Amino acid sequence: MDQSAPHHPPHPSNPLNHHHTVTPSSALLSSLHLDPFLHLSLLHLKKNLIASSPTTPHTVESLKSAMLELGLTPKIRNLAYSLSCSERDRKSTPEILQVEQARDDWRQSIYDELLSVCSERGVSIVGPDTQQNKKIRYIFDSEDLFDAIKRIPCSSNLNASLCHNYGLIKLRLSTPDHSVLRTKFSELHPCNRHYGVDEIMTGSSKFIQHRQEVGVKVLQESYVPISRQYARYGIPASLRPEIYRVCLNLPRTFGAKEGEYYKSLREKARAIKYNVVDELFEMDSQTIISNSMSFFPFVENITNVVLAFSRDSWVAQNSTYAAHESIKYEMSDGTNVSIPSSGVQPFKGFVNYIAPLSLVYEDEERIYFTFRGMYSRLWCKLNVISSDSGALIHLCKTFEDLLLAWDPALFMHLLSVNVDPLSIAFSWIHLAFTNVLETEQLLLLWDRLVGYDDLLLLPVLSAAIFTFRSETLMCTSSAQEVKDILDNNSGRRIKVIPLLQAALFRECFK
Amino acid sequence: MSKPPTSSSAPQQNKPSSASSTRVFYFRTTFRNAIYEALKRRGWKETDGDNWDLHWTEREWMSEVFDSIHLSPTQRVNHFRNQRELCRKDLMVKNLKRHKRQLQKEQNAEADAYSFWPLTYVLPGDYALFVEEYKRYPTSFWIMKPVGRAQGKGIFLFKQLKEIAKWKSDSRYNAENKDAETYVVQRYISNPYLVAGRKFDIRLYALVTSYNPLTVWLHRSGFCRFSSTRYSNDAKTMQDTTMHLTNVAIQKKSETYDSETGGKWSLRDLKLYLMSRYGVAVTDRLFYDMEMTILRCLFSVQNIMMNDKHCFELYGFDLIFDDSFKVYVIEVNASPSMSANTKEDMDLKVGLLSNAFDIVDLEGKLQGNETRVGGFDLVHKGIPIKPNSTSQYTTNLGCDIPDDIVRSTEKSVGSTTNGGTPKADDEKGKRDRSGSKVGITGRPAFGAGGRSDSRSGRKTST
Repeated sequence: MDQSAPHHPPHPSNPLNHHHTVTPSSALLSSLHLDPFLHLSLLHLKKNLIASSPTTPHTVESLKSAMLELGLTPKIRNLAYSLSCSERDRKSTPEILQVEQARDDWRQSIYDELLSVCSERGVSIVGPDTQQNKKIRYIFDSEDLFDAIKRIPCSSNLNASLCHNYGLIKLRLSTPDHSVLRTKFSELHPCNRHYGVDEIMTGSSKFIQHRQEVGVKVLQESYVPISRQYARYGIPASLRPEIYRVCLNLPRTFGAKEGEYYKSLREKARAIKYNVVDELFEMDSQTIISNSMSFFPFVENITNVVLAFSRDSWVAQNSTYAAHESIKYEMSDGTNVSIPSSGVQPFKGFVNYIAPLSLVYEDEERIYFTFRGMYSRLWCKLNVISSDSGALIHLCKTFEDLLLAWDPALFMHLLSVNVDPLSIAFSWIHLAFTNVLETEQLLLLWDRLVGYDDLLLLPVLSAAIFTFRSETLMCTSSAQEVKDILDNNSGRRIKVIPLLQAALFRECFK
Repeated sequence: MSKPPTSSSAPQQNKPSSASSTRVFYFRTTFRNAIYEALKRRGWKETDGDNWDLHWTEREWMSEVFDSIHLSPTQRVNHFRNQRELCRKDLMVKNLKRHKRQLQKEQNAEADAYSFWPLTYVLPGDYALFVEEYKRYPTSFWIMKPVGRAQGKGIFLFKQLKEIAKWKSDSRYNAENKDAETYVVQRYISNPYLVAGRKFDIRLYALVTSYNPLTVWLHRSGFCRFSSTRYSNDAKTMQDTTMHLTNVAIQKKSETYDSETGGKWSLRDLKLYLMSRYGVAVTDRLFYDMEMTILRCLFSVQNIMMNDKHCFELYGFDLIFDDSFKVYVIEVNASPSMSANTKEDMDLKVGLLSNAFDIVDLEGKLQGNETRVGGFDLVHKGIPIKPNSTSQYTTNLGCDIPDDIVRSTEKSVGSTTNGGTPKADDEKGKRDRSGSKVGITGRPAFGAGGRSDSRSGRKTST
């Protein structure tokens, strides 16, 4: 009922009350000048203005109204915001040597595995497949990535005692502690009403109505930071398709241009087959999606999406990180192809990132562009070997540091039964909990990932699950018992938001 | 010292001792699937003799034995004597039509709502009537279903009358022949709502503990059973039973049948899917219509069912909706399958049955004013019971199942006053009131530390 606690601004769940200003730097302005979309828009605008009133001089007002009419205002505003964000996110520190080495090794090993599978099948990576032998195996999975990261040693020039002794991540990375997380995720405080908690309580219909009304207004604004702010409190299922679209800065309407683009990708996938790569994507889809309780009706759609994705060079050019490397291949006619064009090699479970969207969007196209947006902003960080803050290694270390701080006795006990907590939590983090949570809960979690444009809640949730099960875990006497308790199936009952709130703001639950 | 987690099949040694009844309960059944599992988990013992407290019978036993034996006041059986009035395809339609006519005679507006079954005729008796109607719908497909068989056996589709000429000429199906196998012929719903191009139907569970007053508990979850092939209205595909019939027995024969998922969606998945596409209002309306369809089927047989305080029945309702979200009832099963083809399936069915046994309440743990037990919501007890008025939905169908028990403060739900004048309810007043705050399944409310895993009943004591 009372939405305003003393130390919070009034109506915190109404993002329209926040002020989002972008102070343009000179670098930003020059990026804007260079942006092709902006050029086109300005040309269009000019044409329109001249056409409407060829002789009268134009005022700022007429300019503004023309821009609004053409629907340019929100697009330019979002463009400016995105450019300013990416400027902020740009990497400023050089990579640690050991990590760079590990990344190169990892890419090399993927390359080698791929070629070895090709030779096992007796085919080249592109070209006619005349082999009868259809034997195929995954080239890597979460476990392999985990091994690659575990192996990275602590920097040798540092005092060994400063290195973390208990966790598997030896790198000395600075991770956010409890108080930093509480500030960063202050919107999750239980004094605020959230989808994932409040919509099932008594008196919820007013809350739901309010969320719905605010959500509609947020969509009218169509401004990225406002939509993101809204998403942090959870999105009603009916608004989720559109809110995600704005948060990821995707086009308002999926018109002919997007349709053509997607069709062309599917055409490319049909025209030239990548022998092992395509088969692995298809196998991933067939085995995982067909066996999924929630997504099996969409196996065809998801297969189409993943194959189209592999042909999309946009991914390679626009993802925050290049997780893997394409294989350069010279075709018989001399042209060079990158396999796959997206730069993302197939691995076991990749389709998990796509699947939940099939319950959100009706059209394959929209699933595609939303998935592409999420991959390029978020999921690529989960698949790259880099010591950057917010990427996989950092998230793993955050998990270990948090669990050690929250429940050291549990951490030690698990080590004593030969279980490294990260060995269980790794696949949760790597696959963004797609292999654990029930779909509705998963989407509520993703609402926050998209809203904060950050993956930090993945290790927070992982540590929260461990501490939640602490009492039962402390009674275990073997690694198998621990695995049984933290079995992925037991995750189907987890309620994400209360768990996150309890972990971050535990004093509210005493 | 604390014990390591026990396996899920261990009997409930950790139940709170507030349950006053410590006597042993006996069950009798020939079933060996989720029914057996659920009864064993209660700690009940099996018996072959007549000292059972609960007999989970087959319908044949009901028609052959039930009338001839004497039952003690506390014994329970899982069928009503004449359940076929609801569960046989021809009798159900007969009763629905009769009830509708009655409502029309009374000029009750409710009569208009009784349009949730497709045009149906019983053969061979109504053959002439059917042919008249058939001529009015020249482009329709029709579906023939034998009334006495299950699992989709003997069902076929046709468009031309000549396709059933052979069936008709067979002397077994002669209208004069008393032993003729009865069929229903229905106008086929050719525009079912499709998900990813595939047809599906919906299985919902309703527990009726009395027909006087009509007491109905509706389970919040259920299944959507998908056909494994993409749907098509093309006449050439009419013979393809895997496309048009969604029974699991038929689907299992399909090449693309997936035994791991069993081609089933949970009701919650359907709800999420529909909410994302159409919003809350449409989804809620649809689920509300499904609940009302179930209730209306029960209303139509309420007065002819032989009520008996020993009887309860767990029905499996099969519903379908078309592309304009109109709900139809396909059939009602008095003996819905309790076999499971996946672990999730088994868990749902064992949970369902356990909740049902909680409601039948041989152990005397209920206070009598509960409105939700496990996944079952009380939706009718003489009068309709609405969900919590502050909820955004008009029905609890498809909602999440919390862990605690919900008790109503409404007098109408309590054991002291009722909508009707039931004789059967006198006994409730004599039962022991031992309900504890912890809840009927002995689980603490969410948020308490060290919550036990609900499925396996693991609990640690320190």
